[in-house]
Amino acid sequence: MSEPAADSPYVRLRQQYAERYPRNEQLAEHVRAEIDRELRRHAIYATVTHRAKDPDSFATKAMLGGYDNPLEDIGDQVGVRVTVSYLSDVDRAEQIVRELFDVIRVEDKLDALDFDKVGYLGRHVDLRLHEDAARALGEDFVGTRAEVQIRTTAQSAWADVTHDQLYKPAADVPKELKRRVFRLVALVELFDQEVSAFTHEIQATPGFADAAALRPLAEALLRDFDVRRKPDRELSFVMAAALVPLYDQPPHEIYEAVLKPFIAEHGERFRRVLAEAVAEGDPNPLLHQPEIFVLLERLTNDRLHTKTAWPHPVPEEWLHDVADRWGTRLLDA
Amino acid sequence: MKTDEFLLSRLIIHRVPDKKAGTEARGPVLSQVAGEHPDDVRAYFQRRLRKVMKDRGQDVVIAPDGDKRTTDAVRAIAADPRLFVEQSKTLAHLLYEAQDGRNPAGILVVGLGAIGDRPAVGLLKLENERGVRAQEQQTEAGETFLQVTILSDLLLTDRTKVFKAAVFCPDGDPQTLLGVAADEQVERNLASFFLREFLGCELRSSPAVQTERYFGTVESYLGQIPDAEERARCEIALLNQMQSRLVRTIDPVQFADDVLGDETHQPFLDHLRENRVPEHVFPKDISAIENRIKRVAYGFESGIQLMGNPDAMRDHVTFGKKEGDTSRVIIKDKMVDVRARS
Repeated sequence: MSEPAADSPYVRLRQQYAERYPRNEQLAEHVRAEIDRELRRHAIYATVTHRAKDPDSFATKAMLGGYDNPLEDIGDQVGVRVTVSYLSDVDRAEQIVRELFDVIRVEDKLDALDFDKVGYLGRHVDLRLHEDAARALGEDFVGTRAEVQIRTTAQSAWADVTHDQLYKPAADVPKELKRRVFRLVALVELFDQEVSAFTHEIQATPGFADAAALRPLAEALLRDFDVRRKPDRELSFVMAAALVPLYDQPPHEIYEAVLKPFIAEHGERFRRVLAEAVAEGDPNPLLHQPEIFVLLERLTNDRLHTKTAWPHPVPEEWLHDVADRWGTRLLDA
Repeated sequence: MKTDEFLLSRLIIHRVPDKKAGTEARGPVLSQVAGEHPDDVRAYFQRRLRKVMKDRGQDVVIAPDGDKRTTDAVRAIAADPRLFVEQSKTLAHLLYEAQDGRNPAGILVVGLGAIGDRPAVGLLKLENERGVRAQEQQTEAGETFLQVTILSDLLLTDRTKVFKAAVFCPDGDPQTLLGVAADEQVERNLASFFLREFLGCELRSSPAVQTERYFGTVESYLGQIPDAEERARCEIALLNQMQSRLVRTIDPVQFADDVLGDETHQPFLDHLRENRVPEHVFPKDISAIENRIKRVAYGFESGIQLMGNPDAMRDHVTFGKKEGDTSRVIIKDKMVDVRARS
């Protein structure tokens, strides 16, 4: 393949765009990091990726798209993709994006389809940084747009598989083949709706949200304290249902707001307690459970309610043992 | 001293027999070496020592006129761990010497460890307990039965209390020792033979000072409770705790559990901590506050005052249903007198 001439429109467009490419790359990473952080804080499990459109793609799109001013008109120069597990998380993720940025336009691809049509699904949000945040990065970030795509895993899988075959084919795809591909997207819609329905039902199960609050604690046990024992999920469920309601915050906020600082402050002490228990032959299984941090924090800051809320199926001796090891005076009821 | 951070690294155990009248003095049975104690045994003693200190440990100081031999031995161990075995034998002799015919036989556990970066020495006096053990046995014909054996030399089970204990730690100056001692056998105070005769120490703060400090701190907390009737209820409970002859020790956590409500329990404990009032049990001595606890007075917006001793208040005064901010106070008693007062 021959190289384009140095003064060709393609090269000129490519060159113009390449100058702003590093800024776009920085902006894409910034938007990704902001979204990723907030999603984690709200316990929305998602994959967040970013990219700045590469100069060759830009030049090609500019040439073929008939843009008057491609540097301004092409909207996806800075792109972030959020892939969530559940359909209901698409709305939650969009809400978070709206809170973080100055949103220009939201397009739900489903709205663009007639009721008797199927096709690509997902939500695209055009945005720019709030002026102060942009200025903090640099003057040339003010007003620069980015596009965030929010999709479910299923929507993403369909789009990834079909994008190149349908939209960038080497040869025209026969109608019958296209039809087979588009039939699949109907399954994607059905799949997401079913997943969404049973997810709601599971989350409505008593204690489910409370137990979910323990998830970051299991990670902390492994990461910071090298506890490799698989937690007893049934015990966690019972303990979480009893202790998590003692907090004023909603369950998904407890880790960041209360437990993370508590672990940071008392981590060394916990490490010592754990080592001593191991030396004694591990008489108390609670010490290796993720909910141990909830228990220790509550014993430190609300010991009466910890005692009164103690779940019946769990031996009370375990509570007193933990209290003794933690140095909290807890009297028998 | 942070006794809940006491880390025990070595221990040695000596038997201290009793001194029954009419029997020949036998002296302690001494271990000649510390022996290898498994980690779980060491950790167990460490935890029991910490717990008894948390529950009942009181700061002690060397008594100016006291026998210094025990604290000298402790200081020697802390200064040079090579003296651990020999000095622990001295401690066993001193305990035996301090006991009289009323003290039962038991063991003395001497532990060497550390609190933070300072050496620390722990002492525990334990007494034998009785228990039973059931073991599966078989007859000659192969029939299974449970054989029960009485064990009379048990020392420490999960349910038994650690009897007498002390922890010492040098305080920068090698001549100064920080000490904490506890006694779970004597309801009112540390047994004199253990505190004075054996340790050669006395309490850092007298029970009267501790009681006064506790009372003042609790009163200052109760004064902040916004609801007047709740405040009155707690105040009466405090005064009853102080005045009751049946209450010989003060347990601040027990008071919180028995008297404070859902919203006030933890703030009360926090208030004690902020004012450096320890949570452990201590002997009650109201001599310094006697005049303050004789009477309790309710004051009302109208200027009316209701005064009486706490027992009478508890038995005769109740609060009826509240109407807005207005309290309904009900006195059930026989009126015997009305008079003008200036």
